[in-house]
Amino acid sequence: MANEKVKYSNGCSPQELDSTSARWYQDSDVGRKLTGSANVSMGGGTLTYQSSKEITSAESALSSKDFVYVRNISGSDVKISLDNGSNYLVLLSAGESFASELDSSVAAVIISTDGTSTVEYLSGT
Amino acid sequence: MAQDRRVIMRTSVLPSATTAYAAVPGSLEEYDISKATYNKNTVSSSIGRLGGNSTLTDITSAQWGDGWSSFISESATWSANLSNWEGADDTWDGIFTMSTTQTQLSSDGSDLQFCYIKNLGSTAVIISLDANSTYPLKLSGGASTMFRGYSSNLKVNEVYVKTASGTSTIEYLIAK
Repeated sequence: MANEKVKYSNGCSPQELDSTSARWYQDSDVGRKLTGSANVSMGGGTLTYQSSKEITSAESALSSKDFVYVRNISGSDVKISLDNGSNYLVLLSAGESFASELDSSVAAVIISTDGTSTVEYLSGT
Repeated sequence: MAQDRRVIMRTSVLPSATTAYAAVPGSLEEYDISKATYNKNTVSSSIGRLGGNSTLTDITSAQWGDGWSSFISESATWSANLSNWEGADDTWDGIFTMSTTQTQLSSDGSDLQFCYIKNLGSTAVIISLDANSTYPLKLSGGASTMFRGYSSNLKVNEVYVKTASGTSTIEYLIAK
């Protein structure tokens, strides 16, 4: 396969509990579900995929650019650094995923855990 | 004030690649059905579709202000949103216009629990998570991203957006 691309989407549905605590509704401040998607061409035309893997310490998920997807399949919280491990800013609890295009200024994406976690990740350049 | 709030999140990723297909010869009595060599995007057989599951995260019932949502629900009342409608810098239609000048989405100093940003325009938007120091995340036209802050490392007031060039528009949620 060559000239690889990624179509990715992130969507969310904000909800609000009614005053009787009986039922969840669409949040009255927002009023609708939100979603967006895009097709991203990899500059170098390659994707690297790591299937289910147990981690206990920091691990590089991307040493180049364009796109990253990380999923915390199970276990402890996973944290993501977008600046080569200097600062961990993004949190993934078990079951959660993070997917985003990256600016060309990103040198490396590092994922780590507060304990033992099973993750999968995809990166593209 | 809301009784309680939460967000259902869903991420889906579909890797694909361009595959070359050979020419297809053939004709019928009345017309030609042959095909020249062509390329087609197909799902990566070695990876497949990723994500797709839904997860829940709690956010604070009493948000830092009406601006936690860039837009106002049709069911919201005028009186409940005076600060939005009267504010010189606030938006009221949910569409936030930006340029190469950085924009802070909120000045609130609470820990960030959840953030969703969608690029409604065609010019790429870049996102800073360290108060305008670096811009590691990018959104092409139509794309969206969402994330939760790790521990107390990411504050609501540290999320900035801008374009690398030109102007674009976004919609967003930014919650403590």
